[in-house]
Amino acid sequence: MNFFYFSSPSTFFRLAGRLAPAFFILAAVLAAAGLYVGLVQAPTDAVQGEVYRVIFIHVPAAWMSMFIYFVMACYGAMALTFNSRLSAMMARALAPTGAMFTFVALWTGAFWGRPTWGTYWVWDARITSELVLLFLYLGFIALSNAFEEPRRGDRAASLLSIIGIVNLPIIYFSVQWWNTLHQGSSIKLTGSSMHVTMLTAMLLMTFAAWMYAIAASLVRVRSVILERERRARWVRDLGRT
Amino acid sequence: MKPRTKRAAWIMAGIAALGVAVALVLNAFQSNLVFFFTPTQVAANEAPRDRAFRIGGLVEAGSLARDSDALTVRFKVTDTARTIPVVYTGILPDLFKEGKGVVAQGKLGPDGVFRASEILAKHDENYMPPAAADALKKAGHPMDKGAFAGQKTEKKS
Amino acid sequence: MEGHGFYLAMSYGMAAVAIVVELVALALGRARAWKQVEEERSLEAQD
Repeated sequence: MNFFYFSSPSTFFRLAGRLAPAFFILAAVLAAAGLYVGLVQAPTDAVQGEVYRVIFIHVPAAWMSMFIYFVMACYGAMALTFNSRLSAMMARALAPTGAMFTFVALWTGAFWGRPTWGTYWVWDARITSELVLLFLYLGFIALSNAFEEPRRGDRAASLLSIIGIVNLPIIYFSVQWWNTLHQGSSIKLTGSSMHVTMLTAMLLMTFAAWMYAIAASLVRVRSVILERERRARWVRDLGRT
Repeated sequence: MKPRTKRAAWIMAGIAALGVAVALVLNAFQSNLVFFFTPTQVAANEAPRDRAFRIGGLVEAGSLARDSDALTVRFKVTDTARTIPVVYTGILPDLFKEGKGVVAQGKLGPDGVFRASEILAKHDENYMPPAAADALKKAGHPMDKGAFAGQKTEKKS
Repeated sequence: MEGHGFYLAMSYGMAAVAIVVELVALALGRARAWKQVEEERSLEAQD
């Protein structure tokens, strides 16, 4: 098996079809465990009361919003440098899921901010840069569909994704670089400032979100492959599965 | 929808999304990167004199006082080096407490009193059950400082 | 629960809605892709 075996759309189509259900199941199991630990087992927070439980959605969504963008930009860079079709298709498949997580992070942040800070929204550096991320995703999706020739859409959107990557360190370090209303990270390389049960729930939810993102993008990339390759011999010979 | 109108719609959507992103970035660079000023920065005249701005710090322990109308509160915001007296009329957020982080928007009067129009609580990155928080407090661990330690004076421990 | 139920419900509720919307969109996209493949096949059969 050579290195480029799975970079052929036809083999990857079949592989994705086999893997996606497994990742969906993993996501469901991890989410069930995370919700149980987070909503049933985890203790009430000393300062914020019950409302802190928003972190079990908010933090994984925010992490995934950045991580998916990074992966998408990597695929975009591969699509541009190696002119590989599958990389561009993967970037396309990731964008809507990334946008969804970004939206959820912003939304849950608003409904967390209201009871804790006293406001739904402030224009501080962390929140503004996360909103920019949402518009980068939307711009990526729009650009990739804006051309009749899909490969041109690939190139334009890939370029945008690479430029937009400067926003990621801005989001992540905004709470250190500038005065923000948003608090610093609870989890650092040096350790976490979080009770262990709360941390367990948050990590379970993060892995659930991760598995879900993989499953959703695998399903989506299959649709993208089918649409793009519908004139190819292998698609015509494909039994409807 | 015809393919051409569809494409035009996507192009418009793309331009709109990128336009909003760029506008947000420019706006942020103009005013919002500094979300608040610390009392030390205010003392050094780094904060704007003529327009409203935000100050951030800890509510100094023992400084909170209510006027007789029960809606006007006075307290001091400190970054442990400098303090600014603040007066505010209105409802305080739930997490507003002495010794906790706060961000106040308003104007600095000529008398040096900050007249706040909006008060936001700033919470820290610590999450723990009440029992653990009590234990920390008894041990004399200043967990409340976390709200601002994350910012200017990153703990190097 | 000092009145925070609303904020928790809005957060968890919208997260659930977002995921359901995405799953529906995935199913619709899949159906559309297969329809295009079928159209291509029927065009082929005419030739």
